[in-house]
Amino acid sequence: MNNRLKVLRAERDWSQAELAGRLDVSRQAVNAIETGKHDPSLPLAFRIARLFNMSIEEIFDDQ
Amino acid sequence: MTNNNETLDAAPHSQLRYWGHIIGWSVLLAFALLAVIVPVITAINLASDEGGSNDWWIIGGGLALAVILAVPLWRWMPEFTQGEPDTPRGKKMRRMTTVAILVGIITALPLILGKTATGEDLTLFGNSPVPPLAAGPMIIMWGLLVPVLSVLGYRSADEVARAASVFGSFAGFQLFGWATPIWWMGWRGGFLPEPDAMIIFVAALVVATGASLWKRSN
Repeated sequence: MNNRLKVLRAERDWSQAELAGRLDVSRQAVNAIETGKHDPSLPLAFRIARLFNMSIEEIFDDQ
Repeated sequence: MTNNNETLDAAPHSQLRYWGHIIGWSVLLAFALLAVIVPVITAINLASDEGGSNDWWIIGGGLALAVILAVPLWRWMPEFTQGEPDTPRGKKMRRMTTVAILVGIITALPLILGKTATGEDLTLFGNSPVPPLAAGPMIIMWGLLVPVLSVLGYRSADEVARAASVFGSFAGFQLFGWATPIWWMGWRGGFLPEPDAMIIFVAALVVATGASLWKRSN
């Protein structure tokens, strides 16, 4: 699944560790999601969307 | 604010590199500790008039080595956070790791420190008889604490670590399910030695741990 997490993070000048802290996941988890190696669960996808004040579809794309 | 390189860093987090760093640093720390302990013991011997003429060289050389090793130890000190953030869940994960390591050490201690009735050392990985006073505490520690730690660790992990753990458990169980009947039937067929539960356990554990670490990095 494609996502815009890295771009959104870079726009806010957050490190992976900083984003991990805001989402309460490990840095490896942020990395795995950004690189498309892990598709987040629905609860985590909602947490990400809430953090960036966007909808899930605006961040994640299953095409 | 963070610097730009850190922000854009999306390099895969390598578990191999992470644990290699911790193991390498620990080896260096062991040498530094020896460089302090040996001179201290030598100085005690010297004070009790049991020392020799080379003792001052051992004390000076050991302490100099400790000072030299202190620089790389400080500079390349690894992060022990395992990538976990400073949140209640992250702290719980770090506590769980510490407790699991301590439980492992304490569980093995009766066997490491114990002696057989004839005064011989006990071996951890072997099939020789173990005195009940050493075996009992180990069974209680392993039997009661490991299931609790496993459940707490699983519940405290984030979803990527949990998925890696499930993958690792799957790989470990596949090895167990594949190897055990082959070994058992080979033994019954008369061309393999009797199956050894501990060899299968260690092999499954190594595969499960390796697969879990690999999954977390890939």
